[in-house]
Amino acid sequence: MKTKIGDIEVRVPNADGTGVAERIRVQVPLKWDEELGAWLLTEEAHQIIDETKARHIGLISPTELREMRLRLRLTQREIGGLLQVGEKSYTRWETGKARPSRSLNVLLCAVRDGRLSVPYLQSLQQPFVNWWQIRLESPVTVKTEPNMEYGLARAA
Amino acid sequence: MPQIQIPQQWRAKVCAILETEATGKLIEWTDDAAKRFEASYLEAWNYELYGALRSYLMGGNPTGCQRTMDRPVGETFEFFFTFKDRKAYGKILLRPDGKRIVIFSAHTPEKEKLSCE
Repeated sequence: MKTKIGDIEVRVPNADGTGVAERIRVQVPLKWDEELGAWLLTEEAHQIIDETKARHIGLISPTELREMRLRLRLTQREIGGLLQVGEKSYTRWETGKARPSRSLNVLLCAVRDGRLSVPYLQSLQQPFVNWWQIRLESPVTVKTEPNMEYGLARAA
Repeated sequence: MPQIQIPQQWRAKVCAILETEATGKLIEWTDDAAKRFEASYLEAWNYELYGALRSYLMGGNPTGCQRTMDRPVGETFEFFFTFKDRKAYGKILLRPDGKRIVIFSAHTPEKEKLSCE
């Protein structure tokens, strides 16, 4: 099979995705398809393009995600639950089948860098208004006094 | 000639292949298609495109134009679909073995109409 190295320009978007922050020319392997009469990208070519784009955007890599999860001694299901994205989404990131959005990437970087702890993420899974539950479990009787001012005003 | 309904058999096979997300293996891209895709969409990933294509092809009444060519053998359809909330142009070949597709085009449209219109 005839092969060659070709150039592809990868465009890296700026932070809000409205323009091009950077243009990177990468060299990728191509294979000639006799039947089509055209050059096709190899699997490796697609990986090079995706990884270049992800790296320049600043997305956490699948390898980093795996290392982080193992360091935290969590399963894919557990970390997917803690991040509230589900096991399937998390697994797709870790296997490189999908990329996290920029906003989720910020969260992942915070966990990787130890800025967000596992206990903190676990605490977010508890109901937010704990005080309300306590009141329901032991109801408090509140005595009310008649509003004399209001009553006098009405009587007048 | 107006657009025709894209045959169910073609759509089912293409969608099954797209679902594998096996880029570079079962889903092949021409050099030109990859360059145009890169130039058309910022921060778009292949798997997002595959989802958009599947949504269109498995939707209500997908229409397009069949491109008849001596080479390559196989069935090629071109159609408009929506990607990243914008109109997009796609052209896909289903290889004769029915197990691989070639993406000839997936980019913002350059013409208002398809070739058969």
